[in-house]
Amino acid sequence: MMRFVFYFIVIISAFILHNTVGAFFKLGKVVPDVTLIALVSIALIENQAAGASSGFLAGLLKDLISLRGFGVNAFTHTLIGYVAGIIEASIISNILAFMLLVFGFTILSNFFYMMVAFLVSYQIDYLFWWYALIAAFYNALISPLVYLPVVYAYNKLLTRSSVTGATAYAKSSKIVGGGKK
Amino acid sequence: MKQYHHRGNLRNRIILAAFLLAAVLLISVYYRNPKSSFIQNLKKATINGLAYIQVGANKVFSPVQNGWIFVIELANSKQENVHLKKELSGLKERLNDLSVIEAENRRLRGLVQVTVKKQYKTIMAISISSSSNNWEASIIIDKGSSKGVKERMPVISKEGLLGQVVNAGSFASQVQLITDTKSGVAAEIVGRNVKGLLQGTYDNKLEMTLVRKIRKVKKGDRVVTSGLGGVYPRGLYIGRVREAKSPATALYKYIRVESEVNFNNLQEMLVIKSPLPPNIESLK
Repeated sequence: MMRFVFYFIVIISAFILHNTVGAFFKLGKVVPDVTLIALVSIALIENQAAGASSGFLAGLLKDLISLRGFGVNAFTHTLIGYVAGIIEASIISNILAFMLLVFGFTILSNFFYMMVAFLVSYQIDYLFWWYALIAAFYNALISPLVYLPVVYAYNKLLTRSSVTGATAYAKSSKIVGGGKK
Repeated sequence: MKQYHHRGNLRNRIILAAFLLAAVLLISVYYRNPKSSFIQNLKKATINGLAYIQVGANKVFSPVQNGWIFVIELANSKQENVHLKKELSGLKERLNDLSVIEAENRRLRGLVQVTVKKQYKTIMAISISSSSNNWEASIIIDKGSSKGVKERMPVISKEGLLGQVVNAGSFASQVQLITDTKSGVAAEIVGRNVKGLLQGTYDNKLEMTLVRKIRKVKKGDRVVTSGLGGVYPRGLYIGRVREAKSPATALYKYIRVESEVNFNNLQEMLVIKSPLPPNIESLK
């Protein structure tokens, strides 16, 4: 239960940051997707179930301020969270690898978005992928600023509360090359 | 242990299927009834909540944003420019307060002129946030239904048309900009009797479609709203034709329209309360 509260708080906080502070750091029209980075962080630290549920919440929040339908982001982000959850956190040996993963997941997220958008007849042109690429680079660049606080909070709040938490702590310690002993 | 692993996998897949199904249901419910009051109320509540936080964030992060804009501009500007800026910084500091007031006065005077000229009843609003979604062009303004703002009301600035209100919360509203790819503005080219549909592109530009190839359009022609479509009154200035050509493979003319509005830095604007063209849906 405590873990779900943690996901909820992280995703809500990331969403608020994304929609308030994020707008101040626009690169052209590209806003850093703090919500997506937080989602990938949770999914990597935990598992597919955590990824899917956090993804659903993150997508639902995005849908609430979207001009395009309702549920599209919930669908794509659930998939992203699940796929990210499949990856073993222990594989990620350093922060650079995490940045690469965020790059990949931003592209994947846009691909899913494009697929669903195609089904509900949104127009997509070549510029979509150009901006998707810029967004992927930008997200990768700022991802440590989101990931490290999430891992820190996770270690602080959850590692002593459950066996699963302890396992994840061990994983996340590997990710950031140390952590709390 | 292996059995446990399999059970875990099954559980994960069931969770995934449940959430995906829920998302599909939401999409389905929304497309069946886009004006569902439950979803609309949720959206409005979110916009209101974010607007409150945004007002605080604006106070804290405005200097940071200025710094960020400076960094981006720096990368694009010549070194000479930087030297000149340094020399002028002393003077700029002294003039800063005055120039801020002067710029605000100019903007407000421009808005007042627009209002007087067109005889519209308007509500003045300020942009407090822009879209965080890279594929959408929208802003949140600091006026909502408590000040008389309603959905489908056009929003203008002194440089031209901005968009329309799509979600009116009680304290804040969401405005879809005309540069949004799903935005459609019924437009016409002044003096040529050419009507078409103006749409946004992913690079925040404007394209006018549905104009037949036999129509004559020239660079520099003025583009205004045509009044068709039931959202924008006729004659609101949008911009000028930047490029017009007739590709051999296309059915219609390719017309690129340039707005004078800086959509990346919107400040004061007016929400037009009346007179509005008749709402097509209400006529049905």
